[in-house]
Amino acid sequence: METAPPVVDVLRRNNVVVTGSPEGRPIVFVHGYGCSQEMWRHVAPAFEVDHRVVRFDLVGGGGSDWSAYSPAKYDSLHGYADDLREILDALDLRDAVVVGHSVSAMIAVLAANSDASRIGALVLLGPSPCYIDTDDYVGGFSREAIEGLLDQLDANHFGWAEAMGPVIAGDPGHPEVGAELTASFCATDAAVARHFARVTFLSDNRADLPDVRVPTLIVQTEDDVIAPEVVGRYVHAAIPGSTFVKLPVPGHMPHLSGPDHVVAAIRDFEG
Amino acid sequence: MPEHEDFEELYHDAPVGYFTTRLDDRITRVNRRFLEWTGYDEDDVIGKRFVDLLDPGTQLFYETRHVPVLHLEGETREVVLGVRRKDGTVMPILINSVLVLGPDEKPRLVRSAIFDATTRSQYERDLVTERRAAESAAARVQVLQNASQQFAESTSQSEVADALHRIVADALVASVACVATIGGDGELEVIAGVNPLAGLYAPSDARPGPNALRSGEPVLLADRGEMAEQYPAIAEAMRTARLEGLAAFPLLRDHAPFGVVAAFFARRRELEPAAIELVQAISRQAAQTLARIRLQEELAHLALHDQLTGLPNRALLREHIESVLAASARTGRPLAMMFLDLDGFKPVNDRLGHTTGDEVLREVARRLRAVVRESDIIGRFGGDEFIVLCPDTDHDDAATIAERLRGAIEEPMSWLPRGFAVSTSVGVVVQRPVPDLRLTTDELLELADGEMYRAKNAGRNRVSLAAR
Repeated sequence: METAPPVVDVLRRNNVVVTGSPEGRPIVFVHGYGCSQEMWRHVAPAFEVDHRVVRFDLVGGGGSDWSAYSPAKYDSLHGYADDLREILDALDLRDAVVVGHSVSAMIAVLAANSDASRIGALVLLGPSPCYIDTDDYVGGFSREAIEGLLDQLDANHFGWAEAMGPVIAGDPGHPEVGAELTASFCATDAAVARHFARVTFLSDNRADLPDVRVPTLIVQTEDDVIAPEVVGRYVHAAIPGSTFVKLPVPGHMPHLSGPDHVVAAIRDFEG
Repeated sequence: MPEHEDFEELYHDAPVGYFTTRLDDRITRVNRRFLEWTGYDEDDVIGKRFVDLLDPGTQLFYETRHVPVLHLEGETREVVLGVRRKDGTVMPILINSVLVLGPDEKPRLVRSAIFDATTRSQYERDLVTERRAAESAAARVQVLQNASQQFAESTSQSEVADALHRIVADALVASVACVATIGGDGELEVIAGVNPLAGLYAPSDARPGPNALRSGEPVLLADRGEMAEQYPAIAEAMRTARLEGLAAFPLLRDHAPFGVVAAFFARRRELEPAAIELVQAISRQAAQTLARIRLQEELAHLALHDQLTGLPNRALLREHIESVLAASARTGRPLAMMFLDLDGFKPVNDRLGHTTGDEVLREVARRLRAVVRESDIIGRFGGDEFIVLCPDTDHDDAATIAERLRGAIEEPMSWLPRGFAVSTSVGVVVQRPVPDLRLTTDELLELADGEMYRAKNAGRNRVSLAAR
C-alpha cells in the first residue's frame, strides 16, 4: 500500500522555506544556537536573484515541529545533521552551498562527512568544533564558564514566561516584524533550550574536521568572543584545502551586524 | 519644581545604570550610576565593548540570545547577565536594551539600562537549584514507578529485557541501549535492543560488557578517549558508529552477574551518581523479575515434560495433538500419528536394572530426535511408549519417516550385553480431514495404538500403516 511520502513531513518538521530562482544553485542557510531562520533575513535575499535559497528552523526552535524534539535523537549534533541531509534529499538539491552559523557550522560539517553527494561547498560562519579549552587546544572557555552559561539560561528562562509575554503578543514599534514571526522567534521551550545549550557547548567535534572533502570557507569576524580567531584558524588548519576569510565586522553575529560583508564573502568564495 | 529639571543630573544619578553602545558593541556613553556600581572610571569603559565587561558564562548568552533578539525585535527586556566589576567580582544585572534607528530607518545605536539584581539573582538561583533538584528527584521516582509497573506486567524474559532496555535508554537519554545475557556458549548474547557496535569488533577484543559482567560493577566510559587505552577496538567501533560514550551495568542475581544492560551516547557523557543509582535500582528490579519468570518457566516446563528424556509428556502431547488436528481441519492437509512401543525393553529393565533401562530410554529419545523433521513432534507417552506426531504429512512421507524411526532404534546399542537388543513396533495412522467429522485426540491415539499392536503381532520391529 502506498503511504504518503516522508518528504512532506521533513519540510514541515523543519519549517523549510524555499525562495529565489528555482534553476539557480541551491544555497541552504542553517541558523545557530538560540535563533531561528529569521537570522538570515539580511543575507538570504541577496542570493535569491541567482540561487535557490533554502532556509529552515532546527527542531526545537522557531516554527519547527516541536513535537519532533526527541532528547535522544538531538543529544548530539548528528541528530541535526541527519535532519539537514533529509532536507537536501527532500528537495532533491544538488551541489548545494550549505551556510552554517556557529553550532550549525559543525552540523553542516557532520552532514557533509556522512554524505556529501548533495553538498557542493560549505560556508562556516563563526565555527567552533569545541568551546572548552583542553591541554593542547584553546576553545575560548573554561568548563566553569560553560556551566555558567547553563545557569544563565535557567536564570533567564525563569522569568521568560511572564516577561516575554507582552513581547510575544506583538510589537507596535516595529510593525514590519509580524506578530507571527516575533512569536516564532521568541518562542523557546526552557527544557529544549537547556538541552540544546548542553549539546552545543559541550560537544567536541574536532576529530571530524580532517574528514571534510568539500570546498570550505571559514568566515571569521573581529572580536568574536564565542568563536575567537584562534579557533577559526584551528578549523582552517584542520580542514584540508579550506579558505579562511576575516571580515571587518565585530561580534558573533555578522549576518546581523554586517550582512553585506557576509554576502560578499560567500559570493567571492563561489567565484 | 526646579527650573528645567536637570536632565544631566537625572541621567547620571537615576537609580539605574545607563549606557549607550555603537552597533559594534563599543560603549560611547555611561552614566555615573553605572560607574559607581561597577567601580570603573569613565576612561576604563568608553570605547570598550560591553561584552568584554561580562563574565564568560554571560558572554555566551549575550551573544547568542540577547544580541540576536535585540536586532530582530528592536528591544530586549529583563535579561539576566553578570557584569564583572573593576575589582573582579561579578554583579548580577537585569538589562533592558533598545535599538535606536537613524533617519534612514537603519539601526544606529543601542541604549541600555541596567538594574542591580544581586538579591533577585540569588533568590532565583536558589529557586532554580531547588526546582531542578525537586524535578530530577520526581523524575527518578517516576522512572522507577514506571519500571516497576512494566516489569510487573511482563510475562516472559524477552518482555522484561525489552522493557529494561527502553527504560534505561529513556532514563539516561541514551541514543541506543541493549540488554545481553550469558548464552549457551558462555558469551554475552543480545536479547533486547540493538548493539550498535555489532560486527565492528572481534570476539577476542577487550570489551566493557564482559568486564562489567566479570566484575559485577558498572563500567562507565564518558568518551572515546577514556576507552582508547583499555578498549582500543571498541573506541574505533564507537567512532564508526558515530558514538562517543557508553555505560554498561551488570544484571545481578544473588550477587552473581548473569547479564548486562548497556547504554550508548552520541556525545561525551559523565553520569551523575544519582543517574547511576537509578539505573542500578532499575536493574535490580529487572533481575528480580527475570528470576521470578525463570522460576515460573522452569515449573511450567517441569509440569509438561518428561524428566528422564526431556521430551513433552502425555499432557503436553495431548495439547500438541489438539492443535495439529485443528490445523489439519483448517488447512485440509493430512496428518500422521505414530505410536511406538519398544520391543525387548522389559528384559533390559528387569534384568539389567532401571539405570540401564533409563539409559536405553534416553538413547531412544536421542535417536528419534535425530531422524524426525523439524516440524515433527516427539513425546514420551509413558513407560516405553513414544509418540511422533507429523503435521502436514501424507501416506508416502509417513511411511518413509516411520521406516526411518524403526531403523534408528534397530541399530545396536553397543553397550548392552550380548543377548539384549531393543527395537520398536510402529503403528501409523495417516488421517485426512473429513468434513463434518472431527476426530478426537483419544480416537486418534486409539487408532495408532491399534496399528502398533498389529505391528507387534506381525512379529515386532516393523511398521503397520493405516491410511484413512
